[in-house]
Amino acid sequence: MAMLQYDFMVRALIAGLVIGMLCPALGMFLVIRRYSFMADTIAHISLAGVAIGLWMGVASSVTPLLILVVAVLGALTVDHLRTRTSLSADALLALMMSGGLALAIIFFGLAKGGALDITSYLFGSLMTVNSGDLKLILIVAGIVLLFLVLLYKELYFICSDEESARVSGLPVDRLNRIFIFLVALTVAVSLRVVGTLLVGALMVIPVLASLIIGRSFKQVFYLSLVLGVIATLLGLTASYQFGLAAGGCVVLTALFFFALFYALKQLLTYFKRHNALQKDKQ
Amino acid sequence: MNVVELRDMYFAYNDKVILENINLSVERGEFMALIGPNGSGKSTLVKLVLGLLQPTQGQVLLYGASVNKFNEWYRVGYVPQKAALTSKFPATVKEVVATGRFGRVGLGHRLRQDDWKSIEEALEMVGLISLQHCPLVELSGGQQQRAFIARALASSPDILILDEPQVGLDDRYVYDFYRLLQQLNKEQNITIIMVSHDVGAIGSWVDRIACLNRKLVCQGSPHDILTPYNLNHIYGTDHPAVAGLH
Repeated sequence: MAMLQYDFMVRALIAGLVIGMLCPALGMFLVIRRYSFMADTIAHISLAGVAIGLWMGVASSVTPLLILVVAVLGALTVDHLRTRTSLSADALLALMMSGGLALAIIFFGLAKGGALDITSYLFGSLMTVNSGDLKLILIVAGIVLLFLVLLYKELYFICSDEESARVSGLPVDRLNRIFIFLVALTVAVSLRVVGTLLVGALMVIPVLASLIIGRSFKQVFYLSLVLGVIATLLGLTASYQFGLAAGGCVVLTALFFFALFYALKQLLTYFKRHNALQKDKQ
Repeated sequence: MNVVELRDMYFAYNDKVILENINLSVERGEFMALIGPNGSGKSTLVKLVLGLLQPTQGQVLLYGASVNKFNEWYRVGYVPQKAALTSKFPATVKEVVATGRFGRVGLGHRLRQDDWKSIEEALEMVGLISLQHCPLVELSGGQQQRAFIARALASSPDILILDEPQVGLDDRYVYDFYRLLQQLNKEQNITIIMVSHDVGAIGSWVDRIACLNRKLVCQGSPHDILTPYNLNHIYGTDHPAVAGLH
């Protein structure tokens, strides 16, 4: 509890917990729809926002807003192409990811002396989250949670069977656009915390771990939220205790849960088969 | 009253004509099967009726209203081909069936007690109430198909549209499946349109058969339609269903 004496650590914990809950909450719908790389794609596109901010020389307090705008524009472009072209999901995401990264590299090249900022956005810098960042994270969290509470059942229907959702009269295209907008907002504010390279992992790994043991959609959804929060708490504590990179610690903790659940499930399956064979022999 | 009406309807995709000059109507309380060889446009026709595709020419009417202006979709229950829901989808039977009620509840609203009652009634109707908390993936093919029918029934529809629902069904479930559809049709007066390739079996269950092969080749009672001449004309002489009728 010594770490709670420091304001920066309290801010880091609050930011981490909020992001740790938001990312899997949206990641659940992405994973089920086989768009697991959507968050990574938007994160790479958002990096162009950081680069453009550096190139334009805007104040560091304006950069998060710029990232937000670029993330939303990028996400809406992905959604537009998803519905208007026959490209497969992986091909489309690969295209957009490379495009976003290429744009970021060009603008980073045009901006001189911004190396420090690149690192913090690439790998995340949870311990340097300031009160402005935290406010933005809380506002975005409020918006995302409000929409999730209101549209949970519709998003669930769309990701279970989009065609039937359309037949039932749901405005599927509009809901998809709202959802991708929420993903963009979440990715944009998570960049500062876990970094471009790991935000996708935090959206996907807790969900994949929960899918191993969950027996219903609701169970998997809430379990992934809990895992996201626990991974963030444990990861941050490890980062503080051992002086390791926070983002890496959080994601590795989530991966540990995935490996643990996977091993347990395999063991359980083995014993079930073994018992069944024994019964057959008798 | 016509529940579904197609008037001089054409549909083309990438300049290729898939359906041409279709004139077809389905009356309230009818049980109609739509048959035809692979690629004859059966599933396309269903998607046009459901508003998932737009006709190139002509009109699609649901309860007398153009399908684009129709807004009472909760009156339509849809059972897609089984593959529509991924086999790894983590949901219980009840969760899947509940989605059928969402259209009636409306955007942003939660399911209320009477909605859950309708969901349970639908589960009971298809005999899955005892398996409601089981993950869908643990059910057999026949049980999964019954879950999808329950989903379509959960919105208390007036019409049920099924796209090749017997695909993947074990032979021993097929009889129960048709009996359930007939029960829904006769006892609850639900209009049923079913796309089928099961030419041999449907004749004993449906009121009318429409044969499609890009055009509407013929339609009428099973007795009039399921003749060797008609089936030869639609499927060719090698089709097992035709051989069975000789």
